[in-house]
Amino acid sequence: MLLAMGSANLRVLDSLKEADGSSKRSLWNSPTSQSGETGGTRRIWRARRGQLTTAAFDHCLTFMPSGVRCLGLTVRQTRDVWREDAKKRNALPTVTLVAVAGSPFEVISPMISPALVPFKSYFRHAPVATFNDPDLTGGRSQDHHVLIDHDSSSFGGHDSIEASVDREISFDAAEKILDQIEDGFGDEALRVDPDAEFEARKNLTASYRLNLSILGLMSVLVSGLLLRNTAALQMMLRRPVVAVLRQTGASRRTIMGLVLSEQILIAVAGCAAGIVGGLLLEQAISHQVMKTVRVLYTPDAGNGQRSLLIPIVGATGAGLVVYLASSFAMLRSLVAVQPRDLAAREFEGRERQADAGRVAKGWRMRLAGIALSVAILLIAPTVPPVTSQGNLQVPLFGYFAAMAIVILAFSAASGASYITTRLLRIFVPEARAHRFPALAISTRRNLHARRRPEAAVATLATGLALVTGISLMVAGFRNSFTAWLAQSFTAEVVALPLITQDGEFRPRLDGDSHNLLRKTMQVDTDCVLLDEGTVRAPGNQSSLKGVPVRVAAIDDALPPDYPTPLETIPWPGTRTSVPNNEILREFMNSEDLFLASEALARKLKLKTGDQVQLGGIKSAGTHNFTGRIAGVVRDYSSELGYLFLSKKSYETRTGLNGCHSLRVYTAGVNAPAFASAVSNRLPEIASRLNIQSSDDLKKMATGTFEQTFKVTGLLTILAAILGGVALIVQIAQSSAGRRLEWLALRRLGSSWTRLTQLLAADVLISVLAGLALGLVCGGIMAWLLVVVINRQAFGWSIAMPGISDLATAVLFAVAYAAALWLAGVIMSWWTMRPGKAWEVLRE
Amino acid sequence: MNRTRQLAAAVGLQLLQPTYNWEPARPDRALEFPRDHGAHRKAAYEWWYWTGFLSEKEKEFAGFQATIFRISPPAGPRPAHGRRPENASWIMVHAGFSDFTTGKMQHRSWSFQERIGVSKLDESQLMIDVPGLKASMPSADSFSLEFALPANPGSHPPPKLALKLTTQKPVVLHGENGFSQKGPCATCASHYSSFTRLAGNFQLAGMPSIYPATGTATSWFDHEFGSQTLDGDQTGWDWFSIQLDGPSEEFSEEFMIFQVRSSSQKPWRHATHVDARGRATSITGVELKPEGEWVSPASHGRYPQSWVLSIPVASSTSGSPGQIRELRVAPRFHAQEALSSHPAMPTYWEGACQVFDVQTGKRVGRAYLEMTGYAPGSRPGI
Amino acid sequence: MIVAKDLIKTYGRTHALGPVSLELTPGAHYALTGRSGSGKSTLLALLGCLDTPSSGILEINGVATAGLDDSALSAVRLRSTGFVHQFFDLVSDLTALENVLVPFWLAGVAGGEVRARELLGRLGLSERAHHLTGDLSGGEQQRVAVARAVALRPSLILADEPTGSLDSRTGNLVMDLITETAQELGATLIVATHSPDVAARFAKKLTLLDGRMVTT
Repeated sequence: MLLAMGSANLRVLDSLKEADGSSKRSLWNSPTSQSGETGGTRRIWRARRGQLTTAAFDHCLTFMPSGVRCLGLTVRQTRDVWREDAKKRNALPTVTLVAVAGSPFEVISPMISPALVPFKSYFRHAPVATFNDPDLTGGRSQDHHVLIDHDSSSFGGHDSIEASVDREISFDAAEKILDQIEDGFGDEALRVDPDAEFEARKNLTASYRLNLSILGLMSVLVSGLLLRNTAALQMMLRRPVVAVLRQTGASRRTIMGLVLSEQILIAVAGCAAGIVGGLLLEQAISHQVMKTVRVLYTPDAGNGQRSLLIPIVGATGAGLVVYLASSFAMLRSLVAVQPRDLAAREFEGRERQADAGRVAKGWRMRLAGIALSVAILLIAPTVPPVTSQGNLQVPLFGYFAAMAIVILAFSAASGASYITTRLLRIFVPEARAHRFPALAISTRRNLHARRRPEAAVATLATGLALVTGISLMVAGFRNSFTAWLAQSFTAEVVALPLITQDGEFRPRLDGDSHNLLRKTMQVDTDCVLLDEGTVRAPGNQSSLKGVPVRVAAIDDALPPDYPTPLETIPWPGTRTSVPNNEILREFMNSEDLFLASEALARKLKLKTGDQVQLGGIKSAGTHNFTGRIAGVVRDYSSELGYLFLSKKSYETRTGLNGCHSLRVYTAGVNAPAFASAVSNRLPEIASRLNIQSSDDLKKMATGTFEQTFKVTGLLTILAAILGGVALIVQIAQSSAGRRLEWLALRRLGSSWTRLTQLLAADVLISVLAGLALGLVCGGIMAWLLVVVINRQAFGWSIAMPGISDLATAVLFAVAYAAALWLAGVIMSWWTMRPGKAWEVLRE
Repeated sequence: MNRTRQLAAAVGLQLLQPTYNWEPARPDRALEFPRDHGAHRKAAYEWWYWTGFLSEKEKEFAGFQATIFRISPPAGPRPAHGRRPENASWIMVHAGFSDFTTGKMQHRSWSFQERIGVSKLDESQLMIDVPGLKASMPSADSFSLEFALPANPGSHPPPKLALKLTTQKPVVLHGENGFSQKGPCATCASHYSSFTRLAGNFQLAGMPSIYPATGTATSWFDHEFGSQTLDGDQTGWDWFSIQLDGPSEEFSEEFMIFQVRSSSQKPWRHATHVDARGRATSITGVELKPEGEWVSPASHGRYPQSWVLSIPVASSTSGSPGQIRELRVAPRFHAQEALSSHPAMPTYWEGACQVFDVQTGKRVGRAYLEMTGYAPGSRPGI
Repeated sequence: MIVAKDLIKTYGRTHALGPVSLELTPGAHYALTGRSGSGKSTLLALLGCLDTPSSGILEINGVATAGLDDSALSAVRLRSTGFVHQFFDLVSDLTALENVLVPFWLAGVAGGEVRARELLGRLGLSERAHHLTGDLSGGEQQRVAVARAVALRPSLILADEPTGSLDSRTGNLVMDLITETAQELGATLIVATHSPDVAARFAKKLTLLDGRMVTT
């Protein structure tokens, strides 16, 4: 179950990627949805191509008297708001310009977000007001927003128009009115279904919710274990009392009643404390997680009210049942023994005899468990993922294999404990036993013991496997991701065109301007045309229409003076000796070759040399491309997958030229300096480009990466803590179960210090065994996440973590184990501490 | 003036309070018509206001109100740009319909920035053409007004009320030649003119068949513009437009009475009396006494149930000088609260009333009454 | 030489023992008798330094136990006294040999194995040396307990109902072993017992009645 959480974390990553597109929208839904006037029906339209016209907006306005509110929005990133003379200042940021129509903000524009106040004097048009409204900035008050009147802008049309109907108007009537508006828009408008958007957002938080509920389920299970152990511990501590009561002639019924009513009291008090503590913890977790979700994606995520009644009743009810049932069971076995035997060894002896049969069967079960889980793990990479609706690849068997790691941990726990003890015993042979009596006794005892602290070892191992596995995977991912970022953004500057050409959807810098820019500024560029299409491949016959894919037409995969931004990866079908550059050169020189991103290659099971058909290209109408796959390149930007092709061949077929995205090698000149140089020499081109620093982009990407995994980290650590607590109680319980043994040693002449050392040595064995097993399982988990789950879910190769990551993980695991060891010793000592129970036993 | 605040609140922004010194109302500015029936873009705010009653076969069955607010760019003049005219204003239209048969009021407001091709406000005469409302004066003594009425379930186009009205009396200039003081400070004033009695016909389209398609209508028209907002300690206001039934139309009188309530001072009051011949006089010493309490089930606002107005009888009015005339103004029905669905917009009460003589208990006329600042949390615009 | 003077032990309000004064002759063997609850176990616990008296003085081989802390008392218990308990008190997950070795380890004494094997041999347990004590019979377990009690050659051997869990034949055998071993070591032996048969073995008797010594 711990592992299910790991997989849920991957789902978070997954859905966050999916939701990427909707984030901009949700940012600007806020002013309307916040107004409260529009609880009713709402529709959003976008243009099929380019923008919706102002006439369309006017058309919407004529519906105002019928209870419709219209909002037109256009959002752009720009540096054009700065005064010419101020533009040279490096510190002036790129701002998000929001042109709005239909909002009262029009008459008081331009308005700026608080983060822009320090730059107030550099604006070309002095801001009229500051808006300090987190709803308006989608909670991102740190961002640089400028709100302007659409009629003041030169944007022409609107990116989107939103119409919302008065909530007093019935749904059916509202729909009819919205239909009328839509009819007036004609064919150019494309409805963006708010329901679909809402669904997308729900899905976004769904995986977080799944994550949290799996954590919840896990805590329920661990808590159940915890409660059972606590109840057992309580009963162990009651044993002497029960013995005395039985000896004095109390009936079983009396004792059961007495002890059980005491347990009920304890349970009720525990419930009260548990509710308070649980709610606080839940608040803390939700707060942390939702903070991340809000910052990253939807500002109003998780604002809804939730009823706490059901979780409270459910949790306490289940807790009570578990606690009282285990108390009852333990107590029954206690009072079933003859009074005289209660305080004696006989009791334990009887337990031992019962154990003996179980032990033999246990070994067979354990071996079977190990064999089964190893088998599952071994075949996991070869089992293909399940394709869900929406073309998502779900590595179902991978998750199943993660479960197998838990089985492995539990099956191997006893063996691990045995091996650890064996190894430790080497340090204390007969000749040296008198120097380390505690270790000598513990190791020997543990070697002979028929019942080893298996559950404790397995719990620790499972927790560690989760923590280590995920942190190793994240470390490996981080390495790969940053390496890829570094490779893809070697150019100092990234320039994004701002102006849409007639009838086109995507802003583009035309070829002439691009050439002019290169020549005038004397820079090298990577100029890319982007598109979308569908691809059909021999390996994937399931879909007649082909699989949606992103297309990138690149002009030069091998800049003469700079490293290539593409990195081919070894792939079936490639001659192993072919170096990266040779593949790229071949690709550049032929019009019939494609490069596939790894995600695409995996999804379509492409091999190098495969013939694929690219169709449905938006800019090319019915034209089809056919070509061979020259190689597969690393790419973490989209799990949809990219098909790279030569720009020359793309240009010939589509008639498009220029760039949708431009990377500029400025020979060391930084982005602001380059931007101002372009402004000076090519002001017309400068106004059409949003020039950004590659480093900023990289920082942003890494920031998003870290933010995403922060949540994963948090949940993992919580899991580790819960597992730790369960482990400690387990250790304490098993220590309490051996009180007679401690008593014997005490009689023999062990001081309290010596007894504590014995406890420490005993716990050490469990912890070391758990640590060793946990690290092994963690390694397997990391392998599973990297090779199976990640690769199948996203189609991304991630490098296995490096030595330093491994060292960090081991160090963390050791620290974690050390902390648990200390806590376990203290807890055990506490249950064994000198006190009443000893006195009673003595009489 | 008060309505500026209401408007500011309506759009949810303190920011609409002007920061620029738009031209204030001046005592020496003489109003000239028809020019001054038109828009005044140098003033920070302005509104045109029609209230009235619809009758079919002598039976009054509904009250109506139509208002158009204009507010200049708070930060000062703005040049024309694209579709935006010079000094484009923020426009808000409010329409209400009080049905005396069912005791229900329906109302709606909508707002937008002026745009070429969408809205037109003439500055040389009354000529308003905005989505959902058209008003003009085809001649010096007639009005043409048509506006969209809210109706549930909604539909498009919405029901429409079209009125052809003729002035019964000349234009009334409140205060000193239309310079109407609204508070203690010198510039706390507006230019305020009214046609206190309009009569004519209406056409109702798009409403359920139980409503008559045509009939007769009476109305009252207000137009006000200025630049100064009120002090922060005002808590609300009560505003009356009273039309008394004379023995015949020729003998009818009107009162315009308002008070601005303040938390720190005596309410600021002003009243204008218009006699049967249309002569307007400012009167002082008017007393307003609220009676009873009506608690709105929707907003839990506690409004006076009715008002008793004690008006000193001036020499020019009917009755003998020195006498006090007592009128009771009571709503046709209580549920004429304009409940705001917008958290920033105040909930207020505005509706059709009847006027009774306190002494005789007889109905002597009708009125429109506006009461603001009574609903909890809806202290307007503060 | 063990000297006790006015030993009193109370548990809370419960008076368990005393005042008891006694002086034990080194090497002498005593039977400690008395009814259940008369304080036999308490007296043994005090003499064996398992517990500290509420008041009174206890000297073991000339050392007053009053001021000693837990470690020092544990050391006295380990080195100077051997304890044989009715329920054997062995660590069931250790072998017979290891159980006998535990005192050596705890005391930090090297080379205990030779003596441990020798003791087990003398008690007839050579064959059983590598069996877990949990698997041994009662008599065997008690013999292991005896071996462990005398492993470090204590000057005082305390036996609390050593035959209580055994049949009479095994009981006699165990009693023989205990007395023989004590004799060999020259240790003082106190055997607390209910059994008149066991008590009859000893010339010197200590009898407790309601926490007080009746005869010496």
